[in-house]
Amino acid sequence: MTQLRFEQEHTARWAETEALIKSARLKQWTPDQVKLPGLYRQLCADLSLAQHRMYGARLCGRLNALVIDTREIISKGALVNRRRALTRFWGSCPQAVRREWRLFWIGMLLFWGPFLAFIIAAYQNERWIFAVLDEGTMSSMDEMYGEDSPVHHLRAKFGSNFMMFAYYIEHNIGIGLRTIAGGVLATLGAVVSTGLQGVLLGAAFGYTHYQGNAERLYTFAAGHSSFELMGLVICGVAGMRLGMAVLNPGNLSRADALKVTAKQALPLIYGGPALVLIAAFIEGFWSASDTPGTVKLVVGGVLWVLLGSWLLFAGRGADEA
Amino acid sequence: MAAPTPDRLDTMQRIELAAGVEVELHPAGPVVRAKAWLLDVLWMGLGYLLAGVVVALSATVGGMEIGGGVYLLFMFFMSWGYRVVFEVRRGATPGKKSCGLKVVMTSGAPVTWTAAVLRNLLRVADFLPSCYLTGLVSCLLSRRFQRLGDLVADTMVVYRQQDASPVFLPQESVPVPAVPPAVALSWEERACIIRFNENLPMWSESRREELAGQLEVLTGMTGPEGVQRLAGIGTWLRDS
Repeated sequence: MTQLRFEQEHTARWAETEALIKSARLKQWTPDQVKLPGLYRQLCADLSLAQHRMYGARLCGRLNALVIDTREIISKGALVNRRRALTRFWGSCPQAVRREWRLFWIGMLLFWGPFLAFIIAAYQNERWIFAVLDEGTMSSMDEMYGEDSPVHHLRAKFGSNFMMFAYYIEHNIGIGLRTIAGGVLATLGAVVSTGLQGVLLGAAFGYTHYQGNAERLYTFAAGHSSFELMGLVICGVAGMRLGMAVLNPGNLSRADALKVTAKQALPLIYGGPALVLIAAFIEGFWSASDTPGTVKLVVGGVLWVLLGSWLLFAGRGADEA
Repeated sequence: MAAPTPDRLDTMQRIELAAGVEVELHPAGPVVRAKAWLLDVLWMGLGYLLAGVVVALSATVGGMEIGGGVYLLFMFFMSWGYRVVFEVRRGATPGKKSCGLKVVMTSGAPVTWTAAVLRNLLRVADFLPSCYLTGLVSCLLSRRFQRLGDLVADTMVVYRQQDASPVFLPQESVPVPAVPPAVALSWEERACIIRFNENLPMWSESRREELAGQLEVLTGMTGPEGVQRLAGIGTWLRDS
């Protein structure tokens, strides 16, 4: 068969396929579009033949483009079952944390180590704090947790809860996401970011001990502390996991190791920021309310226990990898 | 059947589909992607500007706090979500689209939500230490111009195929009589000669003679006769 006859025989079908793709792209649905999968298979056969018979770059190029376009249309149909994704996440995130228990405890150490060290150091010698916090941070800490600030002063400065909620989303989740991404550089970004958060928060807490009303800070932080801090640590674990694929790819090439690891670390990559998101809701709309301090501390404690049990027990069972 | 692939100079990626056929994708290099990135930055700047105006106007009505909060959420979306949404729903961010690029999985399939999230999350690492230096190194080291985010998400940026050209029917002003080649030709040699025939109408006579002159060994002629003979072999190869 000559190229001329080949084109003449099939050109109507190709034109039909092109028209169907065009209408599908414009989201104009016609009953004829159910023919696309069949047309796609025929196109694939045409392209194979054209390549095999060396029908030249122009025809092959055209068919190549047509196959790619048709495939794009017909494979768009794969839907995500949202509810199933959510129930799977419920178990898969704690499973992933338990699977990566070594990195998890390293992350905990990276955060809580500097955090506690700075609180103790500040207790011994306040100059440690001044090495870390700048003047602006300290004065705003004074305003919020100073000895004689009124209770609702927590929010008077910043305005409404909503704005603070938005700020926590932008700022805190941003830190979490950067921690994950930085981890791919041989874990360095995740390690530094997690440790740095420990240093900064430790210094802020130390400063309040030294200079302010620590009770106010603790009652403010109690509610959201569990989700925010564990979310941050899990972001660190996710980042370190990615970095380990670069450091220790095992039998795979580094590129393949990254690909495979990302799939395994996915529950952590979604989980860490999700926890920080929950924390932002609590911190934005509840932590600064005038609920009695005792209630805030109790609720905060309960949330720590619940979160801990989730990480320890959720998703245990037959399908644990 | 596919062409044998010796060491290739071009960056074309051959991908075998489930249907058993191979398609070609053309990965995009760092320069055009930098251009697309700049365009995206401009678009995003415009977005920030518009959002700022809207917030400022609404602040006069609804108060600064709500407006500020909305703006912060908008900032969050622009830093982490804007590209993801465009890449999944449209195949490319506006900047990439105007440069004729799109994001696909390395299998050639449309990019998935998870992949788009991963590749844009890792942008932070690719940017370090500055100006996408890490991404550039990774691009140049990988076969498919993948930055770290692409490697992690298993994606690549390719040129969008041009709109399929109108049906090509070879039209020779004077039909060339088919001449069988004197010796058996390899697959690649045959492909070359057919390609020569295809592009013949676009060249000047002297260019045709120059190119055909390279194959004097095969045709045994130079000048216009050489062109005629080579075109004849091409016709024979195509039509037999």
